[in-house]
Amino acid sequence: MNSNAPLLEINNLVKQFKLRSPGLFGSSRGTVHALNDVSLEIRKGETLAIVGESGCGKSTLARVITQLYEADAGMINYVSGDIRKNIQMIFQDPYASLNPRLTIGDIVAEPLVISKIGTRSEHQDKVATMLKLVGLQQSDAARYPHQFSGGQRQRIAIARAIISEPELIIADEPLSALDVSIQSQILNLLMKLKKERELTYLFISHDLASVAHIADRVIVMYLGQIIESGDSQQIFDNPGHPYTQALISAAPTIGKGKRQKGLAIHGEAASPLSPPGGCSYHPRCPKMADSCAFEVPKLEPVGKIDDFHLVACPIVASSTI
Amino acid sequence: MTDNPLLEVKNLEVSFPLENGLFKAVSDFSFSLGAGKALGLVGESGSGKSLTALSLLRLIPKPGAISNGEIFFKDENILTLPEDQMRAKRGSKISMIFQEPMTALNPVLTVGAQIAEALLIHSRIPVETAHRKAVEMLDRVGIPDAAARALDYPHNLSGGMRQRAVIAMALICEPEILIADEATTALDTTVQAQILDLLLDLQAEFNMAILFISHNLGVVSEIADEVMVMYGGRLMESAPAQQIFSAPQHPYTKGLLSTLPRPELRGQDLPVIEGSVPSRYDQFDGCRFAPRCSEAGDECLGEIPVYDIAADQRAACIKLDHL
Repeated sequence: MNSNAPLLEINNLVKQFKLRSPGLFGSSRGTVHALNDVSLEIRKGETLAIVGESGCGKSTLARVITQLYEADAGMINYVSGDIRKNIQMIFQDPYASLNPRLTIGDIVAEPLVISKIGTRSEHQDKVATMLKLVGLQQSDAARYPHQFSGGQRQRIAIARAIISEPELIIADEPLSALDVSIQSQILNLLMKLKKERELTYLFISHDLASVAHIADRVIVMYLGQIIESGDSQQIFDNPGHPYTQALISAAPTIGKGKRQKGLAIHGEAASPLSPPGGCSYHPRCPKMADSCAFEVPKLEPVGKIDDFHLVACPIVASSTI
Repeated sequence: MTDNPLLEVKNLEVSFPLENGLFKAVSDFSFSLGAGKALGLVGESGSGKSLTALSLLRLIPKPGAISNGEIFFKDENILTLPEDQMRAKRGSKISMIFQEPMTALNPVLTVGAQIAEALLIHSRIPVETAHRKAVEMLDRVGIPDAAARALDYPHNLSGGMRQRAVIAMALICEPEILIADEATTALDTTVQAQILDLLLDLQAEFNMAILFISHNLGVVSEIADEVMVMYGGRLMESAPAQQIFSAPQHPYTKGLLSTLPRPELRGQDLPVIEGSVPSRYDQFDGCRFAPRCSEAGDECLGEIPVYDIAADQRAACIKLDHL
């Protein structure tokens, strides 16, 4: 998997949002540091997951990659040309992401219409193929979104995402709005389509169980920065960064009896309006050293240099060499 | 006091008028909750779990109504109480925390004032005393610098702190039953863990019974002594927490647990429950889960009672051996 060529390279990406008071001449109320020096690559054919809690920048990253937002600094290198055709998104809420006034046929065909690919009758054929592929009927093309359940709507959103034969699909929390008994249907569908159509996924989620299930590689973000990255197995079996460890141990487990108290880390992530200096996790970190308050940690290899497991914590990195 | 449980719900039915008759959002639901116990209620959307919670407070939104059943709180049927007596219990003896702390708090009142308000409504004490108690409770739920935070407005607080404030409001009258409806769902995982710890601490300290409602099986597993699983407005199965997760009997509980991702199945197809959760338009007799159940047969189309299948386990499945 690691030898695959990169599909997308991101270097030193920065995205900030200036907050202003209402009105034409509203004064500045500060800056949200949504992405802070983020570098990563997405390799062809992999499922790269981004995990982190609210405000960590994971959704902003998706929107910068799809050029819904413009980056303030840094570079995104799209190896394959037209991003409109080659990158598609699946959103969290299938009740909000489908236009209620369009038929399913029109919704699914829209990427082709926008990219001016094919004729109307070709669109219809392709829509029929896509609907079948995601487990719906050809006749569903004439119906409207409100006639479908949440899980079916997410299937429609997936059909729309794959119709233009993209290389990269960005799925931003694609399961979290779905009922528990529907989630495994959609996970299986995503994995089937990836195999059949040689897709690459950027899978954004806060749900560690589904990430562990689907991802080849995992990136953990905290307050706009990548704090750990590595193969999925490495991250879940052997998390390096104290935040990753806390996140994994905080995830509720089934059938292990009542929770053991006292394991929860204290505090909450600082506001991205005023991230703390040094390591942004240091105010909550049980392993914090004096230097953590002013030295910004760099991503460094953990253990063996060649196993691609990087962690932005000098304490962890030095203790494992 | 008799040996009866603190709360006993018998044959609860909640219905809504539809164009073509009544829609039973909850039907024939019976359970009991003992003092100091944590009872988990798990279900997907439309399973009736939130309406069950609102029934205990008699707050079913109109045009819905409790159309059948009895709810005994300390041997008194609260469904027959006059409204003023019910109001005296609501928020004082039985209290509730909601999913979204921002909408549960009044944005134009300080946090301290809203917590004190609950106390002032339910007891005759001076305003200063109520405010002092509000600050004490904020401190107890883990809000640092509570005296200063009491003067803040909800928008000044982070999500986790707001949920702590909502919990403080629910606890200020020292309720005997706390209903937590998706109380940690809107929170980040690390904050959720803190709030679960807090609820367990408070439960022990106040010897409070908790009805903990969630769609998240993991969260329920970590907090509940006993678990009930609802689907389509009906109880499917109930058992002690360890038992229901290690030896589920109802096909729905079994199916639901089997679909969850787990390390042994990394990267492989997960088991699925085919079909969708029933909506209010899918009305039919018999087991609500039957259309999605791989074991269903003709006998599932009739009325399915909840059977005792073991000493402390109940399930609404005609295919199971029962006592």
